[in-house]
Amino acid sequence: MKTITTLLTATMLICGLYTQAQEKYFTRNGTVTFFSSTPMEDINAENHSVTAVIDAGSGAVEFTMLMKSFNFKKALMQEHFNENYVESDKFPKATFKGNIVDMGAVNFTKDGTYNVVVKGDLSLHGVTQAVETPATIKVAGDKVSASTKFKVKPEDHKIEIPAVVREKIAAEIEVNVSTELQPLKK
Amino acid sequence: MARKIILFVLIAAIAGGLIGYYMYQKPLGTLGGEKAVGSMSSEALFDAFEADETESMLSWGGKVIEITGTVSEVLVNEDGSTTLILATSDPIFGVKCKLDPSLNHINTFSPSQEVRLKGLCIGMNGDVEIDRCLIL
Repeated sequence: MKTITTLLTATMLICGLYTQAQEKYFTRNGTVTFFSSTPMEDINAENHSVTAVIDAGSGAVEFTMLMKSFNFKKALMQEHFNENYVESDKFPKATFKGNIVDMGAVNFTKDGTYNVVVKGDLSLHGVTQAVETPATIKVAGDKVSASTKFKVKPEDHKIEIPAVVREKIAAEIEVNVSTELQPLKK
Repeated sequence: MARKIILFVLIAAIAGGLIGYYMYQKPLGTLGGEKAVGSMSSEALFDAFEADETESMLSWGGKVIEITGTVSEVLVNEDGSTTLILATSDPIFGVKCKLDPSLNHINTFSPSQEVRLKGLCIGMNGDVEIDRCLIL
């Protein structure tokens, strides 16, 4: 009888862990910032309305954001960003769809900090480019934090920078991603 | 006469430069002085975007609108600003209202609270997003 009870308990525990590992984590107020630094000017903008989902079962990762959610300190800079550079009316969203390459390195059921590699496609300004970047995943109870940073070249996404401001905008823009996700309520 | 013309051109150039510099440095202000072009419930706005996002963007995109609704979730963002999710008929998505940073000091929002606010409608990304919101 004791053996049966032990077996049942073990089965339930394994099933419980399996269910937890299959869980999806979600946020709708993730943060993406970008920073351009040149001797002439530093430019930074913040977006705190990023929607992100991480599937703890498959390792699939998806981020989406509206370009108009980026806030700049200067009103004119924000206007130029939306109208002249990323053309937000024509291309309203930026998305990243990819996977955690080394899923074996993460245990979503155990608190800890895990260094991983994320690989996927970044779609911005109507142009999709492959991105591979190191990322950090922190598990603390039922919360999961994910962060990474990588660089984007405007020209890779056919974002045209007029010659008159070319010296004010870096050839490579540093992008920082920081999110705190919670289990997706079904 | 030539001196006067040079002086005029010089003053105009300096004034133009100063105006340009002021315009360039002008910070992103609040929407306090902006009049809302329409008023609706969070459910009605979300349903309109669900039914026809393109048409809704033509009607409300880039415009200041007034929204009433019930808070379903209060989110504190990484920069200390607050985002209120207003309930809709959808079980997951709603109307996401990011409050203007000038309201960062207010931390009394709670789920089930009825709110009336105005903000800039910027589009749909799962949630319908309203930016730089002010409480009315």
